[in-house]
Amino acid sequence: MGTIIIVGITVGLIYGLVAIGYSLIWQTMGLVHFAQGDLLMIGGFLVLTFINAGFSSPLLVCILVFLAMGLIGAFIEQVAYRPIPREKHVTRIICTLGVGLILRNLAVLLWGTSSRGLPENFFPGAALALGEVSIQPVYYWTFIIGCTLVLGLVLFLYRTKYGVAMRLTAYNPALAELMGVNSKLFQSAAFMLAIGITGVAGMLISPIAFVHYNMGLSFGVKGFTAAIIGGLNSLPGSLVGGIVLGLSEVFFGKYLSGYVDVLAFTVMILVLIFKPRGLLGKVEAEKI
Amino acid sequence: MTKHAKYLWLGLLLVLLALPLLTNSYYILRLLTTTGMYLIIVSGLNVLQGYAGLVSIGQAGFYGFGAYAAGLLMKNAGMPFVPTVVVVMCIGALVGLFLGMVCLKLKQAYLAIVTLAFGLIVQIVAVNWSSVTGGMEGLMGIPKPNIFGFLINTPTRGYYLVLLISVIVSFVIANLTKSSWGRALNAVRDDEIAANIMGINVVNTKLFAFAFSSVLAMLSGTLYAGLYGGIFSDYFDMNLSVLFLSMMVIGGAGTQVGPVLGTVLIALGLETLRFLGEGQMLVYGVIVVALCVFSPGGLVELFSKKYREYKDKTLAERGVTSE
Amino acid sequence: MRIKQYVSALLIGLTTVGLVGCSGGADNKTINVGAILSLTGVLAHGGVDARNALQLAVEEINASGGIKGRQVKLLVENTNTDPERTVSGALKLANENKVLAIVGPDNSPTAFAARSQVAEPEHIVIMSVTGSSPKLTEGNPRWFFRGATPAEFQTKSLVQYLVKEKGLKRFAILSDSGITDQIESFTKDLKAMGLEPVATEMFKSGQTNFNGPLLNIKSKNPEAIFFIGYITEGASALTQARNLGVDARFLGSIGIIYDEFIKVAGKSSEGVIASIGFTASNEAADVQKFVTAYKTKYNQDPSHAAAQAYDQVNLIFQAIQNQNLTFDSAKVEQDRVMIRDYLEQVKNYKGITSMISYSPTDHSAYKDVNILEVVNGKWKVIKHSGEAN
Repeated sequence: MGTIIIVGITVGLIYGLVAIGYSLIWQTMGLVHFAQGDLLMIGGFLVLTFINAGFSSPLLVCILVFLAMGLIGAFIEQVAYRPIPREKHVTRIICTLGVGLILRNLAVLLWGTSSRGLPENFFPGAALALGEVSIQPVYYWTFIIGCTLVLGLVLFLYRTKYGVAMRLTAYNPALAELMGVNSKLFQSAAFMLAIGITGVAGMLISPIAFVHYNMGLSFGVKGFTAAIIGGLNSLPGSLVGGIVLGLSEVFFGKYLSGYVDVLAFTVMILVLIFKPRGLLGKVEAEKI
Repeated sequence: MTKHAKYLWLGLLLVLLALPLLTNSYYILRLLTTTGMYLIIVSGLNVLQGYAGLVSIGQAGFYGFGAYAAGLLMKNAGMPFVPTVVVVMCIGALVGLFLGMVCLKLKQAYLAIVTLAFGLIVQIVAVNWSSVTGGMEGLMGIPKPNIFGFLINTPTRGYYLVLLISVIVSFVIANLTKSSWGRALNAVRDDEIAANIMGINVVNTKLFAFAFSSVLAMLSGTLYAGLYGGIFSDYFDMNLSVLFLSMMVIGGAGTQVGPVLGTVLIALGLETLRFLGEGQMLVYGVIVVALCVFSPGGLVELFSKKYREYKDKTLAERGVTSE
Repeated sequence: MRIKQYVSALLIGLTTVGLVGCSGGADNKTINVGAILSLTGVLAHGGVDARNALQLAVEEINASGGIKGRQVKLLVENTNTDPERTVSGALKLANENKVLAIVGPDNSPTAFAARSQVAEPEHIVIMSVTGSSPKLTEGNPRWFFRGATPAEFQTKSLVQYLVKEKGLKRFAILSDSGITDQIESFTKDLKAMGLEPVATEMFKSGQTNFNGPLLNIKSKNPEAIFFIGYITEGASALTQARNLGVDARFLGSIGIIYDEFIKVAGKSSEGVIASIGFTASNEAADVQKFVTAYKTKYNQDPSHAAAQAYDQVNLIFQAIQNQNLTFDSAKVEQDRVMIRDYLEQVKNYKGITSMISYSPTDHSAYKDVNILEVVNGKWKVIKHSGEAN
């Protein structure tokens, strides 16, 4: 029983990180970023590239991936999303799908079609024993790094002035401009932040599932299922949604096997119909 | 459209009719037949999205649903083709209505997500319910269509059937968009609240759009099952839904000719790019993004713009100013 | 707005006519052989392997002067492990490039599609490279040939070895929900030994989180887990199993018998057992000749997909050599019939995978099955079973 919970929470944490990415981008740019899962995949491959280049400390690799993905995010945002006006919802959505397609095929060209895992013992340490449950280093490192990331994000957003500026931009760009905040800059920064986080999530899943060019869809969809259940408008909601999803996958996986995803989607659709702001979301006022 | 354009389209139709006489390559006939099926789906998507403004990333789900439903009816229940078409289209209307009711209140982005989830659910069920659908190894052995005694068992006949139905569908849509329904669709897309004030029943209009696009996608699925005889769940994935979307967008959403242009160009274009091997889809992805960024109205908008620029330029050179 | 009507109509017309007009690229000077393989997609490692082997075979035969003085040309179409693309690729090869025969594809769903939509209606030989579903050769196909050991032979020998020689009794099954034939086959073989699987769990292709099914399996305490699926899922499931403390031995089906699997799964792959005909560590002279040639050119060991492709294409070469083909692309249907007729008479062809025999009523090559185990990071033969009875 204990193992189930540990595994569920760890996997859930990763879904939560992806979900936070969606939520951040949604709040600041009003965009559902369908390419998120594919960016997770790119993050995973980048980790391998860095390891092959000689970096072996997980923390160092983590920081490198975060920065590299942030840069990639900046590039994508400037080239593909910035030029399209915000009202053209449909076009933007299709553009994210196109970006995802490009990323997948780029991955094939750069890294080939095979699956890769992290090298053994990338995460140092021995198995931890908690009662009769034995936790592999992979799991507790994921937990530590994931929690640190979330904590860091929370501190940034709520305790620094840049974080506050970013939140203001998300809430009301016009108001932010009035207060002297360069909303465009902070939107880009939020996007970069979201992509960076997703990249680190890519590093964390690679011991549990292997990185290959097509993995983005599965994680992407789970990620935004989590985001919606928790509420796209709420960052803590996304995290909670992720953990809930991770736990239920493990619990219900026993009974439903292949249909687990169907359960997740159905829950998501129900949430969208009955409680569109999610379990923890804030009310969105529609301007007339 | 003008008389000249009408003659041009008629000419094109004649070329398409004569095509099987020019070639007996099953490869080409099948390619064109599949393109025709896609055209039916994309036309439906155009009504839903281009005219009514409702995003859907799940058309492959309807397509697959229709294909499996038709396949099972024809193979296991022995239902002949024409009744199957009718039944599946009714199912399509119901499923479309159902999904429409679910999505009524959703805004753009959420709508996209729900339709995506729908498409994925259909595929998951198709793969897992192997006792009924054959799972990954597919549903095979579907009997060929027999339409009032006329057996569609050669590629040429299949091609003509699909051509006929595509033309009919295009006609229906052309008339639809000119009618009051069409205007209602446009009104709902542009401004729901204003449309409501003007007396348009927004709910019914949206539901109609959903049902219509669903019916067309399922019709296409029925054709696929009957003409090709075998259905494999791998085929109806998210990439296919995205393909349909891009066909509509690249051609020009919300226009009559856009879907036709987009579908033909992409379907045939992808085939010609086969030699790129692994790079084929990359090129395609770049084109989609490029069009989104530079010309969201698709190629149709691109042509119109270029023509207008050209016209203005030549008029200016002749010393005439345009208003 | 009539300009868009003109331009659009024109574009559509030109594209369509252009496609029809520019088609057909066969010349009568080379011998065209086609292949439909996964260069990208789920089975890409197998597909690329097979393509490499085909290229090797073509080079070898061209270096020795070709067949009847003509050079052989290999044309490969990517299927992306998608049935629809497999069909259109095969049709292109058959109708446009006028190939004499086609090797591929590399898994059962695509093979079903290729058989029913191309091989049988178009009358062209298609020899699949993997694809173990027994149904593939049911119903007496006359044009589709199977080039892999059918599932029932793989599972039978595996079960017999483990039960009789290792004394195992508790088996669990963890399977991709889309592949049903192997589950049936394995369960049937267990029943023949008087056993039942202690647990049968399914997952969806592409699934990354196996903890649910694995915990279920763990509670039933099996000694061995038969995994049916592809490499990525197999490696994930194996790693997650070990992380969960499930120590049972993993048994592999054809989907994971590749070096790629060992590379991806790493140390956890030690001790995985599977059954298949070909393995690169087989010391027989002709096998080693192929392995060495392959390794020299491609810097890695060939997998069974490569070996099977090599055998298939060499059989096709033999057919071309021994029949009186017209080599006229206008008469390609006649040539294809002759190739098919020759193949149906093949008896005891000594391929590098093993003895291959076909007949007009049997298009499935029974192959010797070896039992392999991953030892020190490599697949090793631990028992040669001979033809399973």
